[in-house]
Amino acid sequence: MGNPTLGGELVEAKKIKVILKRGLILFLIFSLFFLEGCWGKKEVDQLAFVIGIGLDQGKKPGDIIFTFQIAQPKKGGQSGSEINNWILSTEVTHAPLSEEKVFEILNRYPFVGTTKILVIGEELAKSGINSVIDSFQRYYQFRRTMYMIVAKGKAKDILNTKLRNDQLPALSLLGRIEENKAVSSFPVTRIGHYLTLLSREGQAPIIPVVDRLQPGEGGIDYKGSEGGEAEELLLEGAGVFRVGKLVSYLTDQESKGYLWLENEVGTRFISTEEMNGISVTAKVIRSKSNYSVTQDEKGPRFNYQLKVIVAMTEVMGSQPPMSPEKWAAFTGDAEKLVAQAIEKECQAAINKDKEIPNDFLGIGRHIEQKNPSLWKEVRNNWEKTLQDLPVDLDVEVTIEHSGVDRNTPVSPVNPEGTRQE
Amino acid sequence: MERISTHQFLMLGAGVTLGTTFFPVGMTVASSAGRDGWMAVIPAFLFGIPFSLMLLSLAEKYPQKNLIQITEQVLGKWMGKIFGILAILISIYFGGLLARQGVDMFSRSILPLIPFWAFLLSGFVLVLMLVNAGIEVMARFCEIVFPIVAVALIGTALLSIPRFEQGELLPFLENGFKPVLFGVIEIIPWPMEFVLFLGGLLKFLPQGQQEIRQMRAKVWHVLLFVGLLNMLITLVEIWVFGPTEATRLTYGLLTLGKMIEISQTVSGIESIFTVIWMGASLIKVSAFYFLGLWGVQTVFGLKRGVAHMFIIPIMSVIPWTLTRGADLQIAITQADRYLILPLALVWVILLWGVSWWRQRK
Repeated sequence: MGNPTLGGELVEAKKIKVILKRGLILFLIFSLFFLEGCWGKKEVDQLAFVIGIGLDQGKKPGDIIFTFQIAQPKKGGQSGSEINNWILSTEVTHAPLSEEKVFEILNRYPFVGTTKILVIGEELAKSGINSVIDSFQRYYQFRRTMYMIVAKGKAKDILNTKLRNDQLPALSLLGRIEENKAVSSFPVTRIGHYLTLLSREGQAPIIPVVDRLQPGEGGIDYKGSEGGEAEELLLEGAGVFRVGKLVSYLTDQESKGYLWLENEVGTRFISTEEMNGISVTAKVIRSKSNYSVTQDEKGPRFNYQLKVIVAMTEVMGSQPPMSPEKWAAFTGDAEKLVAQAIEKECQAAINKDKEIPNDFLGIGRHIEQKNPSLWKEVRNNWEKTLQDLPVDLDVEVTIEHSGVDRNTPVSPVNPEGTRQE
Repeated sequence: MERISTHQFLMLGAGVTLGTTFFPVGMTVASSAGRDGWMAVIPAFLFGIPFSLMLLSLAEKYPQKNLIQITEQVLGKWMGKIFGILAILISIYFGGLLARQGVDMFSRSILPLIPFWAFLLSGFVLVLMLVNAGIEVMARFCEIVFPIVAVALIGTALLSIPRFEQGELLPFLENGFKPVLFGVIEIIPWPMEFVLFLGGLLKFLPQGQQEIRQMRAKVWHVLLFVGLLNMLITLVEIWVFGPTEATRLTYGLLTLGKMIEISQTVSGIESIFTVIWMGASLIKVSAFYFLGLWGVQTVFGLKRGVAHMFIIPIMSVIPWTLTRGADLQIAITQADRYLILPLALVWVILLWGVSWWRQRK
């Protein structure tokens, strides 16, 4: 027989457990009325989605002008992708203070987690950006994948440009940057990459340059609205930074040379100079750059090796009809022409690297990678060493094919009126 | 008496050893060994193997006893009590620090406005539920959560490939092996956290000869696999950020998570990962709670409920003493370096050595 007292205690304990369970369930249901979500929660219609930020030197010393490009979904828009372009500039002493200014004006909290483009004004870039961008790498909403661009002139003007296609300038720039590999005509720098390069001894960061393009400028024409205001943006060339300050600009040719040497070329077109009345345009299909460091009695020597696969897309100038054998020989000559064109761009970049001298090509870093003991010898006097360093270039081009045709269109009569041979 | 299987031992061991070590690993080893920091990770974790094997051999000799009980039997009652009290204090203190670290991770990365007591309260409720359910349930929890954490870490590493900086890992061993050795020394305490936990877990391990043999192999698997995961994360952090930036970032992994972009459509998925990291944090805090609980029960002979009353107030007060994130990093490093490492080293070597010496006699 069981102990009746023990049995009674068990029943009592079970009862208490049931009461506690019911109490807990009631408490949980009741607490739902007091839980409104996360602390500091903001509804979507309380937020202003920032796509691009422009940074300019303020009017007062030490001030920064923040320009926010905000993409606000249109109410009642025909499609979900329709957005309003809100631009707001505010002058503050410290970056985070701009957030409260935006709120005071728009009654919305700027959400900077969507920021894709950071445009830096020329004047600010020249005076130094490292302390200004601290907030962009510290504040949790920002991402290190943001793209950096240097503006010729003011960043504010770039973001305020009214483009002909009504696109937001920040979004237009973003589209071009993200599809850059299709044309490989300017470098791409994310803020994370900039910070990594900033901490390197043997390499200086570069940032692409954007400029407002008026009709007829730079060989580009378009029909703008009356008043001649720039309505297009041109991404071309790059700015070279040294300890956070813009110290020099790279031309289009120099920045393209940088792209070849730094293995950043996806596909692009390249035209050759004329030889015997013929010039060629080729489309780069693949490109691979390599480098080596050698040392002889004269000192260190740096060598770049480029292997480029292209397809011929245009042959300019008149050619007689060619047999397959003659065409093969012509292709070999054309490869040399393309190689020369590539060498010219690369050489321009190398010359600039030595001239500044601020090693944006990262030759110093490459020496450190390949020959760390040599780097230890030269690092303290690197700028001087760079100026005297022989840099060789070895470009190998293969024309994979020449499109669907061989030589240029043939006419039985040449321009002089005589029959072709 | 609760018992866990050898597979549960593997998963529990891996979950506890990994814990949240993947947060500071990149910063810690890169600050000592620069771009070679990743080389320091596996040797440091393998350092825990001889100590784990010593504990398993003690478990074989003194079945169904934890390290405190074995110490009382081998070194005497008072030595057992002294080591036991040290283990209790260190485990409760370290558990509290780790709980604060879990909160710190959330505050810095996605939810900066939520007061830390709200995190702590909800976190402690989960820890208490886990601990109250027993070590077997905790092992089952690890069987589910650890693979998810491992997959998330490997996924983060793979999705970070587009962000790799060309040649960032080169040159190897630019400054020789010495900085790597310093890196190893920096993180040697981490596997010793597992060694301490194993000391408490001995009582619940399977006792068969074959099972103990299996567990000896599994100790290798645990430390090697966790070492590999941490090495992978360190490698990726150095490859993406470079050694200087990797040293500067408090939780490099969270920054990596923010940089993940799949095509042009998916980004900002770090909050999904953060929930997974919370699971890892929960395992580690629970492990130290368990250690404290077992210690209090063994040393003072208290019942489970009373032992909870002893631990809860102390463990929940510790996070309040560290409101500054910067102080927290220092406190965790110091606790690892000056409390956990010496205790585990001295205790296990002394106990195993005396036990072995007596057997020889």
